[in-house]
Amino acid sequence: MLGSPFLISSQRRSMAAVLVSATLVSACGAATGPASSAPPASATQSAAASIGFDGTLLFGAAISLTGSTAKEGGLTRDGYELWKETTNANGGINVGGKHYLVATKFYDDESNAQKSATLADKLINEDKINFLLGPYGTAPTLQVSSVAEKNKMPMIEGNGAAESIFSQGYQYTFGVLSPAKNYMKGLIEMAAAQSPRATTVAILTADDPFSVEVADSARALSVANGLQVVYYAKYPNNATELRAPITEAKRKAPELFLNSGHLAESLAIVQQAKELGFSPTAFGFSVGPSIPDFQTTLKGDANYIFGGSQWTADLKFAGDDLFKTPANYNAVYLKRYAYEPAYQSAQSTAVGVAFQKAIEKAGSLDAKAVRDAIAKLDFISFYGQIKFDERGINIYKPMVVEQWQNGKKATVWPPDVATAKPLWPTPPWSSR
Amino acid sequence: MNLAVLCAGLLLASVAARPQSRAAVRRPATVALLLLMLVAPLLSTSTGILFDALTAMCIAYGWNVIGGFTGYASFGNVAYLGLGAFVAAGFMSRQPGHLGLPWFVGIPLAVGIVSLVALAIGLAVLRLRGHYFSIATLGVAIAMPEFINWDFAFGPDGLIPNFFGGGRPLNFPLVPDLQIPGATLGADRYLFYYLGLLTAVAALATTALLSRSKFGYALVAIRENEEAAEAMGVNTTVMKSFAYVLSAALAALGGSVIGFKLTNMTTEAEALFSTTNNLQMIVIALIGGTGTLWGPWIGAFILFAIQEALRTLSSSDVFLQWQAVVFSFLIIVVVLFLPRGLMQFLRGRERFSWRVFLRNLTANRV
Amino acid sequence: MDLLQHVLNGLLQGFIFALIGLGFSMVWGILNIINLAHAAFIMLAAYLAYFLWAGQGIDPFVALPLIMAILFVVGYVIQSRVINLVMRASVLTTFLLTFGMEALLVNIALRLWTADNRQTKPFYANVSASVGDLRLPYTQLGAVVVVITLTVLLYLFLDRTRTGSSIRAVGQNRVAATLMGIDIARTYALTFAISAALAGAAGTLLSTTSAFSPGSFGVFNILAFSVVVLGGLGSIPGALVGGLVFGLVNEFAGTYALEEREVVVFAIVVFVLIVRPTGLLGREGYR
Repeated sequence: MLGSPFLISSQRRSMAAVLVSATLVSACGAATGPASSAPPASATQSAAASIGFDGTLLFGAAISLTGSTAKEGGLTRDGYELWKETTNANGGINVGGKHYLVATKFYDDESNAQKSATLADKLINEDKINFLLGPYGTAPTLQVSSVAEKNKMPMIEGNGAAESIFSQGYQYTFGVLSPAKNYMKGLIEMAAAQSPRATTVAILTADDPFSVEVADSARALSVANGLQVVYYAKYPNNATELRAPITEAKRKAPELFLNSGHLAESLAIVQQAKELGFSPTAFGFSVGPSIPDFQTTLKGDANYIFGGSQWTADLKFAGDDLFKTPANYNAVYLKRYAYEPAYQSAQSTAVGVAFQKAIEKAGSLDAKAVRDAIAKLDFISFYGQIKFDERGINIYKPMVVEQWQNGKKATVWPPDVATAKPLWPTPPWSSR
Repeated sequence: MNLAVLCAGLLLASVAARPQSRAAVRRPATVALLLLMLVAPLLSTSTGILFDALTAMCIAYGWNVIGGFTGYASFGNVAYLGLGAFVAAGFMSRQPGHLGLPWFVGIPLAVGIVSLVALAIGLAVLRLRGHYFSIATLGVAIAMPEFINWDFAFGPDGLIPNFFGGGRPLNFPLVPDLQIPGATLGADRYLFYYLGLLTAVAALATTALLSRSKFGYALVAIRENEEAAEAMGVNTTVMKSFAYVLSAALAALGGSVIGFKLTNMTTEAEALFSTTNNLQMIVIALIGGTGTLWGPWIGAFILFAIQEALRTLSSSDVFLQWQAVVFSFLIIVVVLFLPRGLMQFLRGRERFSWRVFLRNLTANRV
Repeated sequence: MDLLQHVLNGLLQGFIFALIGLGFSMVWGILNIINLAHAAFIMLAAYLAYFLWAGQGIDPFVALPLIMAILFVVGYVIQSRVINLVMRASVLTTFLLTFGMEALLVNIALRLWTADNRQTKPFYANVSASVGDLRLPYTQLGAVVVVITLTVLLYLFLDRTRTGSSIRAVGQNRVAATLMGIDIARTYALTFAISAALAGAAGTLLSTTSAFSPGSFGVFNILAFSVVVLGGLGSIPGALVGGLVFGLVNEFAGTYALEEREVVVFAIVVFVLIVRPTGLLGREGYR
C-alpha cells in the first residue's frame, strides 16, 4: 500500500518516523508505570525511605490546581500531601504486617468537572492507582463518583458536600465532610439564640447544585427557627457583579444576611455591601471566611463576619490518628506550609487518615474488602468523628460557626466548643 | 498504545484524503482505517482518549458545515453540545419523573429536539453576518446553561418540571459491563468507544454526502460570495439554516454521547459548556483544514496525539501546569503559519517545507 | 426613591463599561477586527496597577497614565509585529488569533501570579459618599471623572489633530487613505495602541472596585461587544451612551431577573442588533 508514489519520499519518511517514535513513546509510557508526583528533592528521600518498605500504595486524584477554584484545590492538595508525608515518616500503611509507602499522583482538572472524570479514568485505568482521593468541589466529585463506581474503585472525598452525590445509590464513594444542609444550620440557630435575636433573613445563592442545596436548607431551617425569609435570590454561577441583589436585599432590611457560594463572591459581596451601606445585623457565608485569603484581601472589613465551617483549629477532639488534636494539626500544617490550614485542608488530610484506618482494618488491598472496611469505620480523628451513613456521607460530624474577630478567626458556635462569644450585632459600616 | 493507534489512524486518513491519489489507493486506506478503529479496544486497555478524539471529531465536523463550508464562523456550537447531553439525559434518566428510554431512542430524540431549537435560534442569528454572527453565537453559548437552569421553564414548578433536574443533578443510568462467556467487556472500554466511533463515522459520512451534493456546492457558493449566490438562484436563507441546524445536530450527537459516558449532568460553566470545548471544535477543524472532508478527522487525531504524547513524556507537575499555555500558543501558531490546515499539504502539490509556513505567514499582511 | 440607587449603580458602572467599549470600538471600527485580547489587556493593566500599589505604594489613579503608556507600547508592538500579518485574512483567522493571544496571556498570568485574589485598596476603596440614603462609591466617582476626561481627549484627538484625522480616514476608506499617502500599517498600529491604552485605563480603574484573578476578565469581551452594539459602531458618544445603557440594563436585569441575568441582557442586545444594527448612534467612518 505504501509502495505507490502518491506520497513524496520525504513525506513518507517523516510520517514513518512519527509513527515509529509514537509507538516507542507509548510503549515506554506503558512499561515504566506511573511516575510519582513528588518534586525532585523528596524523590530521593522517598527512594531512600522506600528501602525500608515492602511496597508502594499509589493514591491518585484529579484536583483543580488551576481555574476558578484553584485556591481551594491547592488547599486540598496540600492537605493530601501533608497526610502522605506524615504517614510515611511514621512507617507508612500497615497491611497485615507489611509496611507500604504512600505515593500520590495528581492531575490538574482545571476546575472543569468533565476533565475530572477523564483524568480519574486515566488514573484508574492507565496509571493503575490503588485508591482514589476526591477532587475539590461538588460538580467534579459527582463526575468522579460515577467513574469510581464504574470501575469499583474505592474513593473517599473531603470536598464535595452536596447530598446529591450520595443519593445515587453508589457503593464506592464516601465523604468525610458534613453534608451541605448543615452549612447554615449553626449560623441560623446561633442567630436565633442571640439577643436581640434575628427575626428576618435574606438568602443570596449561586446557581450551582451545591450552593442551591445549602440555600434551600437554609430557607427551611430559617422557617423552623422562627426567621422570616424576606429575600431569596439566585445569581448566575461565578457572577461577582452583585450590586443589584445587594441593593434589593438592603431595601428589605433583613437582620441576617446569608450567602451560599464561593470565595470570589464572598469577597465581592462584603465590599459591595460596604459601598452600598448595607449593614445587616450579621453576615454569614457558606464558603469564604474560613479561607485565610478572606482576611488578607478584606483586612479590617472581614471582622464580624460569620462563616459555616467544617472544622476549626479551636475544636477539642482527641483523635485516634497521627495528628491527634486540631491544635496539633494546625501547628504541623503551619510548620510545613507557612500558612494556617483552612477546613478544606483538614478534610483532605482526614480523607487520607480514613483510608489508612480502613486499609489497616481490612488487612488487605482488595478493593471490595477495603470498601467494606470504609463503610464500617467509626472513630474520632483530629477532624472529628468519621463515620458514614448508609449512603456514604458523614452525618455524624457537626459543623461549627467561625467569626473573624480583630483579625483572627474564633470558633463561636455551638457554645460547648466555642472559644469566644459571637460579636453581635455587627456595627454598621459607617461607624467602623 | 493509544498513541500508536492515533498515529496510524492519522497516516491512513492522510492517504485517504489526498484528492489526486487513485481511488484504488484511497478506498483501501479508508477501509483499513475503519478496521483499525474497530479493533482498537482490543489493542488498548483504556480507550478513553480515543473516545474523546472521536466525539470531538464529530462535533468538529458539525462546526465544519457551518464554519468551513458556509463560511459562517459560529462560536456557539458548544451550546448545542451541552443541550444535546441534557436533553438526552432528560429522556434517558432513570431518576423519578423521567422516562428512562434506551440510548438508541434517547440520543436520536435529543438530536432531533436540539435541531429544532437550533432552527429557532438560527432564524434570529443567521440574519447577521461576519463579526456580528460570531459574537451573537458566542452569546448563545453563554446563555444556554442559564436557559437550562431557568426555573420558570424547568424548575420544580416550571412548564416541564424537573426535566433537567430542577437544580438537582440529573444523571444518565450507569451502564454495567457486559458479561459474555469467557470475558467481561468493560462498558467504558467497549460500548462507549463504539458509540463514539459511530458518531465520528456518521459525521464523516454526512460530510461526504454533503460535499458531493448540490447542497454542499450551494454552501460553498454562499461562503465565496453570498450576494452572487443569491443572484444565481440559491435560496441562501434555507441553505444557511439547514447548514446551521446540521452543525447543531452533529454537535448534539457528540454531546449526548459524551454526556452519556460522563453520567452526571451539571451546568457549571467549566463542564460541558466550557470555553475549551467551544474552542476545541474550531481548532480541530482549523488544524485539519476547514471546509474539507478529512480535515476534522486529521485535526482531531493530531490534536489528541500531541496531547497524549506530551502527557506520556512527562507528568511532572510543572509541565502539566504549562500545558494550557502551550495549547494557547499552539492556536496562535496554527492561525499564523497554517491557516488552511494540514490539508494544504495533502491536497495541493505543495511540498512539506518550512518555506510554505513563511509564505502562509505573510500572505495576508497589511 | 428605591429605584434611584439602582439607577446610580447602573450609571456608575456604565462609565467603566463605556471605557471598555470605547477601545474595543476603535479597533473594530478602524481595523475591522474583533479584538478578543482586549480583555487580556484589561487584565494586564489591573495586575500592573496592583503590583505598583502593593509594591511601591503608588495610588492607582496616579499610576494610571504610566499604565496607559505601557499598554500603548504593548499594543503597538503586537499590532505591528503580529496582527498586521493577518489583516487581509478572514474574520475567523483574526478572531482566532486574538482569542489565542487572550488565552495565552491569561494562562501565563495564571502561571506567574496564581489564582489568588488581588485588589488595590487605597484608603478610599469601598468608601462611599452619601447623599441621603444613596451611596456613591468614591472609586466609581473617580472612574467617572477619568472616563469623561479620556473620552473628551480622544474625541479632540481624532477630530482636531492630523494623526487623528488620518486614523479616521483609514477607517472611512482604506484605499483612498493610501492614495493620500497615509501609512496604513503604522496607522493600524497606532489605533491598536490607543485601544490598548484605553483598556489599560479601564483595568486600572477596575483594580480598585473589586478583587480579581486572571480568570475574572473574560466577560469583558462580550460586554464590550454589547456596549458597541447598543451604542453604535464608529461613534465616540455612541460608546458612552452604549456603556451607560448597558450598565442600566445589567443592573435592572439583576434586580428583576437575577437568575437569568445573562440571558436577558443577551436577548436585548441581539434584539437591538437585529432591529437596529447601527445601534443608537452608529455611523460609518468613526467620529
